[in-house]
Amino acid sequence: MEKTNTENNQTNLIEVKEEKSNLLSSSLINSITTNFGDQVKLVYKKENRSKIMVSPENLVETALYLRNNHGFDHAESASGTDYPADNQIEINYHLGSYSNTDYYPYILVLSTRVDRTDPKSNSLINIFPSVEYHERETYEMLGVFFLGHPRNERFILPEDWADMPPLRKDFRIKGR
Amino acid sequence: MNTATGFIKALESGTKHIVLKRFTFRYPQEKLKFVGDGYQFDPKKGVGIAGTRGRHILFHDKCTGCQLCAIACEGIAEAITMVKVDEQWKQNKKSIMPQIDYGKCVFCGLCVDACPFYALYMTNDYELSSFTKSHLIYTPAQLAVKPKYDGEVEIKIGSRGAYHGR
Amino acid sequence: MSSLEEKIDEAKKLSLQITKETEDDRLMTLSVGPQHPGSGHFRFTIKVDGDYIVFVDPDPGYVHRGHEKMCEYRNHFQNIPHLERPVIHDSCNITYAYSLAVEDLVGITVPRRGQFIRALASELSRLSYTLYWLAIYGIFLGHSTMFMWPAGDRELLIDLLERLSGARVTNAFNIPGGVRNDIPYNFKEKCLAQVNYFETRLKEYEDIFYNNPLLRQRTEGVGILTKEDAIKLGVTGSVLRASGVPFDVRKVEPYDVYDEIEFNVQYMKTCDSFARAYVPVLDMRESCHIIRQLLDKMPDSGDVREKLQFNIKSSPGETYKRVESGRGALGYHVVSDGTPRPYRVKASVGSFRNLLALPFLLTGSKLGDMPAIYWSLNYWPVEADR
Repeated sequence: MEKTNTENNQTNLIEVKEEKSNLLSSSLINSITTNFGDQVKLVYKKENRSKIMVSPENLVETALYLRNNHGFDHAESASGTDYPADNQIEINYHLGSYSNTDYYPYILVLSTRVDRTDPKSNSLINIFPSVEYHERETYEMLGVFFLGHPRNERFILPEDWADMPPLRKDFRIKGR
Repeated sequence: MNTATGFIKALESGTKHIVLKRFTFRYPQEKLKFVGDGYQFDPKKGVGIAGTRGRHILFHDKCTGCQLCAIACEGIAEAITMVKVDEQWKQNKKSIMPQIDYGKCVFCGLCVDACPFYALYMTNDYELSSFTKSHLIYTPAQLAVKPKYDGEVEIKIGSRGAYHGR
Repeated sequence: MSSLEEKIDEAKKLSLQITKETEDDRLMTLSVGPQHPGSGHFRFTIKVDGDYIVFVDPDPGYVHRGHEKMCEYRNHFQNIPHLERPVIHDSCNITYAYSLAVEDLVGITVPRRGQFIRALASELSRLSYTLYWLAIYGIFLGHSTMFMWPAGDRELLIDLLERLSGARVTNAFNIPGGVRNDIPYNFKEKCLAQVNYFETRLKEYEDIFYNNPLLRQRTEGVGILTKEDAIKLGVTGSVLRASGVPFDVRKVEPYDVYDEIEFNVQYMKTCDSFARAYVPVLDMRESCHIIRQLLDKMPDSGDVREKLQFNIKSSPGETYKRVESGRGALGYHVVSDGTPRPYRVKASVGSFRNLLALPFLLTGSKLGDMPAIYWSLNYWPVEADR
């Protein structure tokens, strides 16, 4: 159900780009598609950057595969983008590698879309320990609950923050 | 390196500064020399001219009251408001000119980049402190005054270290 | 008399009860910060057992200003002055990444001379930031000369930036499309002289600070972050390079003109607090080399800026661009929906990523080592909070 939503709405917001791809992107994407087939959807493929979209239930599996087979060992950031028109929140993990020198310049964006009314996603903290604070930040900024994360609680916002998560699109800055 | 030589070297490099020149300068008596007359912008080429970004100078004979500077400032500092002036200029039908609140201005200079009529530049004058907040609001008439600034010292590098000199 | 002795006995019993140690009484909770007693605008709660730290809980957010949200209400040019606020000392680098991202979305390339000038500005900015950090590192290890010297020598670079951009710290110099203005008259000679002089000062820093046996004893072997742990925690910048991973964005993914510049990625393998403090100085040396090469290879004339409309509309899409800032890789993930304003901006900053190493390193170390470990992480609270 969520997956079909993802496919339908994606073309509205993000243009699928097929640029002059370099060898690295192609081999990586080929390896992923042969393993996962239709479960993984390629969003764009540029030089040193590519983005793949998976459904929330396949997130952990894909991340594990990327870490074990391609040496993506840390996440530069985990963030979310709110799409109220689709009633979805997109979670992006920007994965990089320090152990595989071929992938030094490479950033793979692993993203998934969760339902906006009750956003829940599996935490990747057991696969990439570096996402700990990023996921905590995403929880308080966008209200995405990370299943398996030990501390889904306030991090950066004030202690007495009682409003909605501020990076949601319907949270408006005063006077604007 | 053993401990003794480490200490001796550290002491030596510190004591050397007894004979070196003082790097700082005496501020209100001496002032830094800047390049040019302040940041300016050439809208034809679309490139600025290097200079210090101090307070603005407004040329009343060129300002058309187009509000582009105020629009540029809108999301940044909201320091510029357009006010009515008692002057009649051919190019300024509405007789409105920018008034700048230096309590809000961040001196980014994007209003200068926005002005297409060579009317708003910045000057070397950075000493804007005042006793009340309302004195920080500069009216178009105040902005038209060209400030006096005579900085003299600049960084020189000599055999006895760097110093500020004429 | 007997009643008095009884009373003394009772009092003794009572005091024994009070001083009887339980597990909880041994632990003492300390709150470090946020009133800047060596922590920056940042608080962390630590629990100490005697002299040893057993638990650390960082609590950032005291300088959170929500600039990712602010970006969504402003166009790409209006974003520049407030984006540089998190690290005003390193303002040219923090706007560099955003400019690269917007240029990628709009689809323009910056003129060659403009690329050189903004690389030059960002190197000067990096030097200025690193000196500021070094000054704080020095004073919190009790070395007040090391506060005065970098803070004073920083003026050499601030002066150059002021000549170049017109402002001392909040430069707003790199904008989407290039740089704001061309270099002023006589700038190259000035820059060369001051940077060369600054490089000779680095030698003196080593004499008085880095080769000082006192500093070595305080920092060597303290706060070991092994290569495996560094990779696992995903740290970046000097913290990563001090752990033996030669990762520098300027080298691994050269942006603008960095592929024409020859420089080495400086890294150390000792993994301790001293290495994390020493790698930035090695980096400063490399920056001086880079500045000389940039001045040498810069084309004599040409445009410095691709003129863009104030309300430039970018094509829908998203991009992730990163640069090497003073605190490591700094990436901007910009999503655009075709309007002049970005739909979403996410800054992946080095400080926030290095924060994860703080509890890891402090747990188990002595309380006295806390400043040496904390400041070696190159952590800038304002940038981490954003």
